[in-house]
Amino acid sequence: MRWSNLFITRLRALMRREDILDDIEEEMRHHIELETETNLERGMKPDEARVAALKSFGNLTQLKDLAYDVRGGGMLETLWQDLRYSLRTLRKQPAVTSIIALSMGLAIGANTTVYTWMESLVLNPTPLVKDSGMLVAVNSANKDGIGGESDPFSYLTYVDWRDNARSFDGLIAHNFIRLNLRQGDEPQGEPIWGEIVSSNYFDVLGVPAILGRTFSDDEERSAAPVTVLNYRLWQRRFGGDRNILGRRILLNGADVTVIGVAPAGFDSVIAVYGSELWIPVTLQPLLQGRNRITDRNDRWLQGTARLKNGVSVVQANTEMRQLARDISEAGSETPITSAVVKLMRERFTGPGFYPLLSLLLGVTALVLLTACANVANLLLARASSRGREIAVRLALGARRSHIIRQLMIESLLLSLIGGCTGLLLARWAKPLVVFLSPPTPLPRQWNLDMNGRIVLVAFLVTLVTALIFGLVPALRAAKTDLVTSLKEEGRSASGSRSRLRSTLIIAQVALSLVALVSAGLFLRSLQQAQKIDVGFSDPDHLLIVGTDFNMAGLKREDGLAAADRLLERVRALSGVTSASLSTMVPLGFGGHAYRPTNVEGYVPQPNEETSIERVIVSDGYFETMGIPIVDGRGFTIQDRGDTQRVAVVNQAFAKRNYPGQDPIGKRIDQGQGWATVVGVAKDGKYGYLGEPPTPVVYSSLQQWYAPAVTLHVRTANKPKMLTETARGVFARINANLPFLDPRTMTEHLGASTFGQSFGASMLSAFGALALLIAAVGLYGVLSYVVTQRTHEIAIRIAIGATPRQVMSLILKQGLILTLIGLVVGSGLAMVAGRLLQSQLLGVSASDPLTFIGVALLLVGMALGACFAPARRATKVDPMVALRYE
Amino acid sequence: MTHTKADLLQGTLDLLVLKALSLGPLHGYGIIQRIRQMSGEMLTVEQGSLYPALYRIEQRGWVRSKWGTNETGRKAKFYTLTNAGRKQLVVEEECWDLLALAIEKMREAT
Repeated sequence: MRWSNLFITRLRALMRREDILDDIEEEMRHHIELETETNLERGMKPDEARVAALKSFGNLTQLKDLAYDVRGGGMLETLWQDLRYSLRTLRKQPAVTSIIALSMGLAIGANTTVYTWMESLVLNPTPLVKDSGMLVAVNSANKDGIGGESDPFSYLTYVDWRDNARSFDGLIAHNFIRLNLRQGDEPQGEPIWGEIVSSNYFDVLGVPAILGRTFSDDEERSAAPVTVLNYRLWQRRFGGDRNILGRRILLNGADVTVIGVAPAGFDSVIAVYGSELWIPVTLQPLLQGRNRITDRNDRWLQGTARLKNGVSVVQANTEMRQLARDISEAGSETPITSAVVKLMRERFTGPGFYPLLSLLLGVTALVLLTACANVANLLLARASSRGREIAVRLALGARRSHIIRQLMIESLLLSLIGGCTGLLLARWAKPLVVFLSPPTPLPRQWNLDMNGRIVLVAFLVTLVTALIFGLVPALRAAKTDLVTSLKEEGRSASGSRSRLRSTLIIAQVALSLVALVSAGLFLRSLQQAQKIDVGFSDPDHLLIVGTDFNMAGLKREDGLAAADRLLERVRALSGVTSASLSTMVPLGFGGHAYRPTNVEGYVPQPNEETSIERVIVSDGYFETMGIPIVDGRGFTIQDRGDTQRVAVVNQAFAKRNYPGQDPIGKRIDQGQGWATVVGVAKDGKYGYLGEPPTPVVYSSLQQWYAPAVTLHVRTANKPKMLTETARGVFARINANLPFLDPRTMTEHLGASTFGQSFGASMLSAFGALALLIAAVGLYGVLSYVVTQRTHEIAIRIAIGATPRQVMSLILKQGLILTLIGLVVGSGLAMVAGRLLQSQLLGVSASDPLTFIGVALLLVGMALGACFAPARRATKVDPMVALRYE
Repeated sequence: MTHTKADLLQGTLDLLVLKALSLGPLHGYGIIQRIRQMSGEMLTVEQGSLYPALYRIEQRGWVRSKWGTNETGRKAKFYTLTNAGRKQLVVEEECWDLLALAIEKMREAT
């Protein structure tokens, strides 16, 4: 009979079990009746007749079984019975079952969650982009690596690269831009994020428009005022209007026409960030009031490219490096000494989330291991305590293979429960990924689908765990020596079995220690980070608000006037001690600008990096921030566009360029003529907490206009109380002047210690999880030990052992295991620490305080976990135990 | 290829049952009787072991069963030879003839 037919037959039979049994019964009964009648006819007496009939029929019970074997559910039925038996057994031991399920659930849940995060951040962050594996990030590179990992380049440089690079199937330039979106009749617009892109953006990414079209090269050349909308924006603000094409909207006051809509789910080429619409890069002057397109020194664009078939990242990197060098030597004004091409996901490495995520993945893998160790231990314990039950079953005629099969089904069932629990947990924990990336003003869009692959992985892990940790105990149990098992309930735990159990406990303790020490190190690092001198004072009383005069459609003169008025009005508010504007907020995201700096009297070496960070501030900045001026003065109201060009430098700049001299009176040129140094400010941290002393030049806002500035307000009371009042001031100055991300400086600084605090909290959570699992494991194993040694304990009590002695007997066993685990774990933690060192601020990876603290914690846990079983040991009634034989 | 006694018996039993039914539908007890009759009382089958074999034959589609009433009006399950069963009977008989011939030849050889 063919397999499929057989299967169906068996399945049907399974459902009609009772009917089939009745049918067989009846048929056989009928047969026997007929034979009885025949016997009667032959002359036997009624009793004899029946007995003879039964005899000549054969062994009725056995024949019924044989008959049912043919017609019944067969293997399917056996499996079904095994399943029900397993469920019953699991239900009978609810504690063990739920502990195992929970351990597995937690571990699988943690792993699935982190894997989902990895998927959305690193592995497949931009699902609508075609072949995103072929995309690379292209950036300029300074020799000193100033500015971090993703140096921008200018538009003219972009054009040169685009036209000459041979490694790419297309090079895109792009960046985020703040815009005020307004429709014709609205009085006030809404601030949105847009992405300003080269015309080939959508083509290179392989993302077609779902309505209308995307940009053409002509539009970039002619700076046509067109835009492509994000699907979300189209739905949200325009109600998904199908007639949107050709509609005119105002961006920063400029008239722009909608020519297309992007597909749903596409937000940006940069993972996790999302823009609401796209505009051609050459539209920038129209939107921002000053031209960044024609200035080769103005570096503000990010690059992404698609590798040609067969070209590797290394090859592209080499080509671009050479190309950049060739172009810069061909006589452009600024040496961009190099270009760098790297994988997309490495674009934001640095004190960012990619390494942290990897760390997290490592830790959750550890947690999974400890959970598996736990499950293994518990399964082993259960398997050996069922020696008796199995021996009885074997004696009654069960085949060993059948018993093994049933035990396997039990393990599978457990693992399935664990797996399902895990998936539920993961589903719940998924959105927590937002805590994973540092707070930035950029818009973020997460793609968090728990796709089929992840679910599959979770279940595979489940399955593998079941197989490994169920099979070994099952095989051992089935080898049970019948006679010995029936006589004594495995009184002496066989050597190798208990050694395996002990090893597993030791492993759990060790792994918990590693996770907890990692967490501890991050906590300490966080502590240290807060002690670093950032250079300005009292961030608690500083309110910062972003704004952009371009978004209000104000060009230079009007913008400067507005800036003046803004400061005047804000300073007049009650509770305000001081207020000023600045292009850069320290330790924040963006706002950093670098200008090649010419120091009078100093001739730079060929190919020496001369770009220095330049910050544009209004008068009163240093007072507002609480940055001490150590020499000379800061900017005052007297510094205006028509007075002497001035500059303030910081100590690092002075030390570097004027060692041993007084910088006051010296002149520097950052591209707009000579400026005289009038003051020296104290050093601070500008980019990130761990940076070395960095030179900075401050310029006056009135002399050097910048439209995108942040208002800093020092208040006497809580800064937040001023927010609404300040918002009103902005609105009265200009209805379209944006009031962006009001926050206190303290909140803003939270982003800079983000890595540390995130690491600390995540690792603490997982460390606690590992600890819990280890505690549970320890408890389980010791409970089992007490059960095994009941007989021995009973004897000890009978000959006079005190409760304390009994307790210490058990406790000693647990503590020894823990201590060994601590030693092993410490070794591992030292190694792990070396890998973490780069992430830690001001604390050594082998910080003794952390190690000792965690060790004490673990010992405490061990004592707690051992306590209950130890106490149970003292309660053993010697009479009962000795009698149980 | 070794045949256990059981195999041989089962194969024979199948043939006997099919042959018995080739003359018309019967219930289990009836099949036993007819086998006795047809073999001239020479073959007896342990009565109960008929049924597992019968069910096996039924699953292979050589017979089909139906509950009906017997001569005395009691409920009984009747088995009828199917077309496939008829074909199988021919096959089995041919095999049996070949076997008998072979054994005969072997006996003559000694």
